[in-house]
Amino acid sequence: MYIYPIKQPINLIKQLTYYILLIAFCLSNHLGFAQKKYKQKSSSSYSKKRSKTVNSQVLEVQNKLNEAQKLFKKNPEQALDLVHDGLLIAIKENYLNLEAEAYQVLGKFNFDLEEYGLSYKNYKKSIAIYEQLKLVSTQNFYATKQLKTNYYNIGKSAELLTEYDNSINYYHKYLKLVKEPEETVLAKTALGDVHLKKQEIKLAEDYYLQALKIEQKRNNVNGITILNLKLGELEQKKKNNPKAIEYYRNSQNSAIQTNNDQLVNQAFTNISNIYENENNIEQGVQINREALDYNQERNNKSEASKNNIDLANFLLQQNKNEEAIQHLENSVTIAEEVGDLENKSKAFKVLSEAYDKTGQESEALKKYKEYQILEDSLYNLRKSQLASQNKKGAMLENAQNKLSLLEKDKQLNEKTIEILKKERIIQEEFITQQRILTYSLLFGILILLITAFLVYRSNKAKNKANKLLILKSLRAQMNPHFIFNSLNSVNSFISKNDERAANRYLSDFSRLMRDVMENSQEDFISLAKEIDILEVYLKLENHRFKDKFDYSFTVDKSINIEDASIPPMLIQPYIENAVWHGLRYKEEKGFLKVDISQQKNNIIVTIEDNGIGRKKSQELKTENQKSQQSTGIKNINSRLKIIEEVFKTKLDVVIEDANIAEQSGTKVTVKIHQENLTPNE
Amino acid sequence: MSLLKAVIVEDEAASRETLNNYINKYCTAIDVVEMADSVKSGLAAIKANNPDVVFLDIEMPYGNAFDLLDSLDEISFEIIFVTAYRDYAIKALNLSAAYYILKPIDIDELVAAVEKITANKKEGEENFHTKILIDNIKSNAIQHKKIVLPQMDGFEVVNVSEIIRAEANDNYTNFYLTNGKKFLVSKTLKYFDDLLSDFDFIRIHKSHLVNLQYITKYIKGKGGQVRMADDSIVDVSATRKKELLEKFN
Repeated sequence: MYIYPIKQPINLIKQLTYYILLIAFCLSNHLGFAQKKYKQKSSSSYSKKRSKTVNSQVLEVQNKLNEAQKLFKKNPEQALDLVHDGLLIAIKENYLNLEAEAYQVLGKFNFDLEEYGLSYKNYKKSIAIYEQLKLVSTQNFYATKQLKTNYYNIGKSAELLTEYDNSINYYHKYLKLVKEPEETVLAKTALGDVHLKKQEIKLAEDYYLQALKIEQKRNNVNGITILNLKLGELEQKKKNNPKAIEYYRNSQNSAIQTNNDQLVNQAFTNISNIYENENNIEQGVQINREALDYNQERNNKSEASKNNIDLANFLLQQNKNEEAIQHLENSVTIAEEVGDLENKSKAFKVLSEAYDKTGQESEALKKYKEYQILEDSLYNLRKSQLASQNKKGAMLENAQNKLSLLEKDKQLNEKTIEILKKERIIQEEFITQQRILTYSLLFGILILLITAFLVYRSNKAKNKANKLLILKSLRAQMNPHFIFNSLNSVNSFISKNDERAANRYLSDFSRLMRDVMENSQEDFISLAKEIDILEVYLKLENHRFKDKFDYSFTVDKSINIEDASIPPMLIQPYIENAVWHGLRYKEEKGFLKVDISQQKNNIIVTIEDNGIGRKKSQELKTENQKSQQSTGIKNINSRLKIIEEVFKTKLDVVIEDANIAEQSGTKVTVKIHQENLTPNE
Repeated sequence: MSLLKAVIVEDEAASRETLNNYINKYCTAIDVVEMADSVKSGLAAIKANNPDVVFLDIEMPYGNAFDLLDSLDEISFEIIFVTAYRDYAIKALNLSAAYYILKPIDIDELVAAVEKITANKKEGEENFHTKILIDNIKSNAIQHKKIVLPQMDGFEVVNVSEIIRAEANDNYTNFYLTNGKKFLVSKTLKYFDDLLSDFDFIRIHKSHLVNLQYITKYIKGKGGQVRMADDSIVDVSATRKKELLEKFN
């Protein structure tokens, strides 16, 4: 920056201030513009929907997911659409929670659609996000809760995909997170199931037993029923039939307590199967009779019908044919009552065999025909069922396509996400650029301010220099009157041909001039020098006005006159004034007293005359005389002011009447403050 | 020829002595009859002696030279002013072309002033310088101030307000007045520039001093020109243009 030479400091500072304001204005404008630009940019790009508040968008996604879950059973296709929409928004807006939740929902849907592979994948994505969120303190609780559910579900999916190790791994993670006993039971049961499937029977048994223990402890009958059933099946696998039967019986007893007929019958069936495999006819008959009694009592017709058939099979092996036929006829009747075609068909088949065995061939044939008719209708039934199943399958297939489409879409989205992220980075760069610009402008302003300060300071220095210059000129101007008057005096000696006197006077005058000129370069001189000057000056003035006054000049001996300092020629004008305006007018001979003393850190100079006094002196002046002012005192006042300003020296001048009552005489007291002045020893 | 009677009015004893000594030594045509040390005693001395010439110090206690002149009804003597400084009084003296000598006294200057006065006395010329000086001091209005313009063959007294302009002519100056008259004056333009600056005169060119009152038009140019009341066109130098225009704003 070019700094103008400073002629008018105030103007320059004004100018600088103006520039600073101008720059500040530009800066604010620029920033405003930048913000506008930024806004425009953002609105033109990804966040058109930014106009909506973030909250409303979160709510929108949440609603879509909830709606999808409600709709899923009725219309999986539409449900998937909804999840898909929600997921898109969640990804775009970086709502991680919602993204994870959407994947979770997709995992569930796929599981229900028996697409375990896809289910597994979605759960895995969901888990990945939640595992990240878990690290964020504010999200920790919710993420953990969601993770728990997901671990179990993905474990199930893995189990159904026969990826048993994965499954076990996830079930363990689930187990680590659970706190409630029923959840622990769920975990251990699941672990038992997988290990059993892996043929790790011992491990499976351990988990089942642990689960059973918990259920027994909390007396959960339903749980006890199921676990006994599972243990029974496990023992059966171990070919430990009595133990298996024992578990089944336990299961059955518990099931009876809760009237869970299905499980009661499951136990009956399993036990019956064991006896059948063992060819233990007697026990087989017995268990089936027990089952029949149980179901007849409870009017479980379908089950009773089945029990009759099973019992008949055992009875036929015992050759109790009549009794067997009787049970079979019963079975047919009961099955007919409840329209149980399957059991009815089975019953006819066994009946046909029974009649055949008893030699009643026509009857056997008849029953066989009945059996065939039933099988036909069963076939048709199954066919229609299959058709409907196919229809459902087609729908599922469609949903599946949708899912794979979603997958593709997701990939696309990932591309858009990448683009969005890039955009975000570009925006951030833009903001950074703005910031750099702002900082550099601020820096510029700072420099400007510093420059302004420096200019101000140099101005101040210049000011000071100017004042010093003025001070010098004031000193140099000191006293033309005195000089001319002195020369005049010399002239008078010449005119009188008094060579000796002229020479003496000229020598004194020269000495005085030399001292004054030498010291006019200084701002302060030692008091000693000033005393020299004043002595000569007083001598010369007295010579001129010999008839007008006598004088005394005293200096306190205790003053260290070499160390004390004083502005040069400060006292002389007061002496001159005393002579010219006070003593000169006096009729009789006057007296001038100059005294220098010390008071603490102050040098006190008093100039006292017994002249006519200031008031009278002023009165005596005619109109013609008043027009010219005493330049000596004007000069000295300017000097005093500048000296005080520039050197911070304290200078006090008190002018008063020497004789207050008569208002005559003048006393001038000049007090000059001294830094660290030690008195003379 | 009889000696000219002189009175010295000077408050300072040394100066009084000096002047007296020099007059006695170098001005044989003058006889100092009395010396006074104040306006009061000066007046008395003048009345008592009816001098031909008075050596009058300007600055004295109890009134100055003009106070003394104010208190006289008629001035029938020549005055040689004596002063230590070139201050305000000098302008007034120059305006009326009065005689003065500066202290410390230069003997040649003293002799020249005395010679002029003796010459005037010989030719019996009226002492009009002093009259004009007194008139000027008494009238405060500018238009009544008069100026004495020394010419080859005498003096011309004109009202300051009659002067339209002055033009340098080597070491002389041409004056143009409102009545159409033109004088060649035997002083430099610089001399009048100093003298007339208090009377609304302005130096617009190295060679031109004009009375602001008579400028009728400013014609633009590098320095430009001004048209005066007598329709004369005067050049303005580029360096003085600003000063001139400031006078009009």
